[in-house]
Amino acid sequence: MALMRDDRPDQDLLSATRRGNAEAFAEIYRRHYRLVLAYLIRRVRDPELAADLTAETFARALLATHKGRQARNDTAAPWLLGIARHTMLDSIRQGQAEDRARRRLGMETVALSNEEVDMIAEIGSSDGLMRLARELPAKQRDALIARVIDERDYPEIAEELQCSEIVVRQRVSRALGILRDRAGDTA
Amino acid sequence: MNAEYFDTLEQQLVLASERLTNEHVVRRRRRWMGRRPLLVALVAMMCATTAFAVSDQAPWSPPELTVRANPDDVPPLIGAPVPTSLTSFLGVLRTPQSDADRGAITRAALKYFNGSTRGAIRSNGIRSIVFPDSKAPSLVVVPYDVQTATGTQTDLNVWVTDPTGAAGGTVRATRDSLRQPMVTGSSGEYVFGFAPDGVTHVRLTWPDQASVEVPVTRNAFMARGTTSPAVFPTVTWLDADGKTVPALG
Repeated sequence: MALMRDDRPDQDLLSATRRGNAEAFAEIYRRHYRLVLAYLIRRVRDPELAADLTAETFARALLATHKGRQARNDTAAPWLLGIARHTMLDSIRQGQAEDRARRRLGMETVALSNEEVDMIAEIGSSDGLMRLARELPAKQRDALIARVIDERDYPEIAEELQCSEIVVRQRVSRALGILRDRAGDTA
Repeated sequence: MNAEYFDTLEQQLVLASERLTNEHVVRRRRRWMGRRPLLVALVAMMCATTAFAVSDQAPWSPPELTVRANPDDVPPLIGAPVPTSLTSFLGVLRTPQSDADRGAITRAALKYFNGSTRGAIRSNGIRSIVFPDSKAPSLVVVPYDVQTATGTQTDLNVWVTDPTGAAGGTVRATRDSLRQPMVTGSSGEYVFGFAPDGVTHVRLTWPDQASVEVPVTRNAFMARGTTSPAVFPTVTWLDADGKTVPALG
């Protein structure tokens, strides 16, 4: 992996990817793959399937970026988690891990080592996402749990928290940004 | 987290992104070539003229070329553009160097170029060529100067890699050989070569008379043979109408 860190916002990195800078997407991947993996392992409870879905999620995100679709927020985390969720649901519907985007991109399936399987299982069993979430400011934590963990709609959350939908989106976005940084620090 | 699976996935995404960028470039070029051949020719002439006029640019100096444990391993770099002896018939060298040209495939290849590789490298002319067949090797074209009996000549040092970027080797394509329809080199079962502007496909015919037509991507072709190491076929250049394009005089 590259050792240099690119400090540009996610939106700029995705724009650079579309202009032909492949390394910019590598930075997006490095920033967010732990979060996507944590999101998926908590739901599917199968390390190999979670790793597979993580690969497919980023392949879909890459294709979408080159087609001109990308995250609207400064952080790509909500966008990526949305793609992860759709990828997971598609896979459940089909009874097998989705791989269309990876096949389109000519990406070969990579086998997980036993050590990696254990490591991913550990992420799922240790409630890493929830543990990190508990350290967030209360308003951000409530918004994040309602949206990402409980998968509720923004208007519903806004009504419960008695604020506007925009404010909820901002809180979720900021919380994901903090989680992303902390996940990177602790990995 | 330090896991090989996720490192490999990152590398795959980088290569896939470069491939998508090249697909877009090829698609755009085909659209333009189909609709505005005269305008394209004029723009190409302007690019060639501009490149000729700008002769004192700083050379692209990636760390893969310039940071070495032994300073003698750093190859000489020059910023001068690729001369018209090559750009006059290879459009890929006239187009500006893109981020994809400076991407992961190129940087992986450049680690293997050192002070004894050959002559001074015209690093602003380095191009990567990724083919639509995702399993096919990619090419990194490195223009470099060599001293001949009649003076300095610019040839191409061509790195051929596999899709993972984990392996590869170089072959020299001289200015004169590039003007002939021929195979430049091989990698496993694959053979590759170059074709001048206006050639859209090449027909490859093996000694057993087996024949295949493959498209040209950025002045280069890559085709899978039937044996490894590959037996070299004869090459016929074809234009968009399927007519044979003769060797350049």
